[in-house]
Amino acid sequence: MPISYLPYSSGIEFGTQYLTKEAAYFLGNIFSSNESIRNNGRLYWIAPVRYNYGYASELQIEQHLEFVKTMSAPMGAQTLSADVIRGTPLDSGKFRLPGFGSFFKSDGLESLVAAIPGLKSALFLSSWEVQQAFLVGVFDGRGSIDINKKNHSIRYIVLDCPTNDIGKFLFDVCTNAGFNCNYNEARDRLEGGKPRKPQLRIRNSDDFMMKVGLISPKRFSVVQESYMFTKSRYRINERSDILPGLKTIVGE
Amino acid sequence: MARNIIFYGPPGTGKTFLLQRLMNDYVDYSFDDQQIKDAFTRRSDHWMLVSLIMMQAKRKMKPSEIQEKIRQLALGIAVNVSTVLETHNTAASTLGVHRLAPRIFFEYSPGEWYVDLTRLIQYDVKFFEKYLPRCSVERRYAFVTFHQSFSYEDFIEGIRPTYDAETKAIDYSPKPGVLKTICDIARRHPEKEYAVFIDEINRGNISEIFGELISLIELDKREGTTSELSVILPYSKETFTIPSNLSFYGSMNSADKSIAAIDLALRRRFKFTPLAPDSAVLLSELEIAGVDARNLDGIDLIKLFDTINARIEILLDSNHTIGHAFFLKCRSYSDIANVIATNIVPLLEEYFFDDLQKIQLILNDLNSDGDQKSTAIYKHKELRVETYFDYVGEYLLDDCRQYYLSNNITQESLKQIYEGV
Repeated sequence: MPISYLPYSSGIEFGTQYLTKEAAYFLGNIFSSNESIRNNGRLYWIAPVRYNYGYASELQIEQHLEFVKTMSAPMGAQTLSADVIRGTPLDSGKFRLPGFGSFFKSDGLESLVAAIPGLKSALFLSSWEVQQAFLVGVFDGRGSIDINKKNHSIRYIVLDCPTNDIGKFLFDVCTNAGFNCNYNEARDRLEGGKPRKPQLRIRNSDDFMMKVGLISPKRFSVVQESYMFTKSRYRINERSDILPGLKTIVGE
Repeated sequence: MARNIIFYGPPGTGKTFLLQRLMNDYVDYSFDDQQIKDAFTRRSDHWMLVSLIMMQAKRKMKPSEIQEKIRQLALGIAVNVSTVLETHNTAASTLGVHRLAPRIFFEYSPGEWYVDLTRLIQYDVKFFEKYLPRCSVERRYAFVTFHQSFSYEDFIEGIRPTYDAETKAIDYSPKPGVLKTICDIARRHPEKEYAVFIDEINRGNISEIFGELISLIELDKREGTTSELSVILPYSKETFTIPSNLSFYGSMNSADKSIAAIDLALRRRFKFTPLAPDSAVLLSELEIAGVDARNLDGIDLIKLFDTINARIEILLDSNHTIGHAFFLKCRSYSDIANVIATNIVPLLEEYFFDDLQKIQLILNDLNSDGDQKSTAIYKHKELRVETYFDYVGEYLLDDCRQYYLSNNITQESLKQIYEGV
């Protein structure tokens, strides 16, 4: 059954006036990162994808980039690898790590916090597929799979949130989707130094991976490896009907 | 799928360049993984590795496919394919991403990339010789240039005496021409596509060169089709057909001859594709060369080019406009002046041989009163009868103008061409 999309004006040039799955995916990523740059007088919102050094292979990063570019190119955005971005006016200062970023021109949106009420309302009124795409976007770029090294189980799916306002918003979206999550606001470290970032944690990762899934080949493979140890069997579902390269996994 | 296409247009619109680019689609470079490793060891440029992988595959590739191949080659060096493709992209970056030479990769469709062999060879003419000396090259095309002396015997078949040193006799047997040779090869390899490239197709006598084969080149008359046509060749007496896997590409200078005058038998068997002067191509090619065509030593080359062509179209027609290729090597205003002096003005003198003042109109050398500007490029001087003749008698002699090219074309002279437009 075809999905019907809600008219929505994000303030970012997505080439559409609706909250489509693809727009939702990139909004999830943009909000989870809150990164922007000014280039030639234009403001660009960035949807970054990052991996720690040595975490993902070059092939896995390329595969991820390809899936994302399949969505971003028709939307008029440019998706560039970190090597191309690093040290140029396009660098938000965070592209020293391997990965890539998609650059979307702002169409009036200067602050993500100001857009939260409108986006929350639009998401909650949208179909499940659109909410799913948003949640994929939230964790696909900078999320991490927190593994218990002793028994290979997944403790949490974690995201370091850029600000408390955005963190609370993402927490609300996750909770509304039925996921068991907790949100730790920014706290000072006991040992001193930079304060911890606000952190969103999905507790029931099984549920998340069954209902939402991920595009990132590396992050998905980490989940799959955990299931190999912790489940008697599992089934991978290709969900390219929702987003290119999206996979969910159901374990028993 | 065979095609019959003739590209036509004024001089300098890239017809021959387009044929050369199409020729690359009919060249197979075959080399193995070891040759790639050897080449990369000799020159460890990442762009070279990526281009060799794409050439070996002979098709468009996704970055992940190229990355997977690099992993298989186990070169011990990390290569980020997306970075290489983007940095050496032929397209200009709207985000100001820095580009590096050679700019040889283009994104055919989102996520699918191709290597432009024409640009690669332009960058390094001896590329294959230097880095792939052992690669086998199969050229699945024949290239000819038609001219007044080009005949049926050169193209189809003819009697060409050859001396046999063993028997000490002269052999007068019919020898195949260019088309018959490539047809025989194409027939033996129906799984591959072949082509005949004919430059300056309108310079030859088509009826004489093609002879009876003019009927066979139609796509629905080829070998194996329901309306297959065959002829018996006059010299060898062979029954001849043209295979379905052979395409014909031609180029035609529309300024030489009106397109209406081309052999009608050829017109209906070919698709005619116009190539017009394109300032967008000029802009992008100069951008690839690191030149801003809108501000080349203060000259807006794009406006200059468009203005000249607009005036030619008004005074003559679109078949005689100036192609963008003339300006592709310009890197300074003196280059532009040189192109105007050595290419454009001689061409205009040919077009307007009976009214050279029109050249002054095109170059905006005259003011609103019709007087020559001080910065004129194409100048004139009055030749007065009374100055040169003491005696005229009954001869009716009129004063006239002598036209000549200025020997000092300045930046102001060039700017004046498009001033006020």
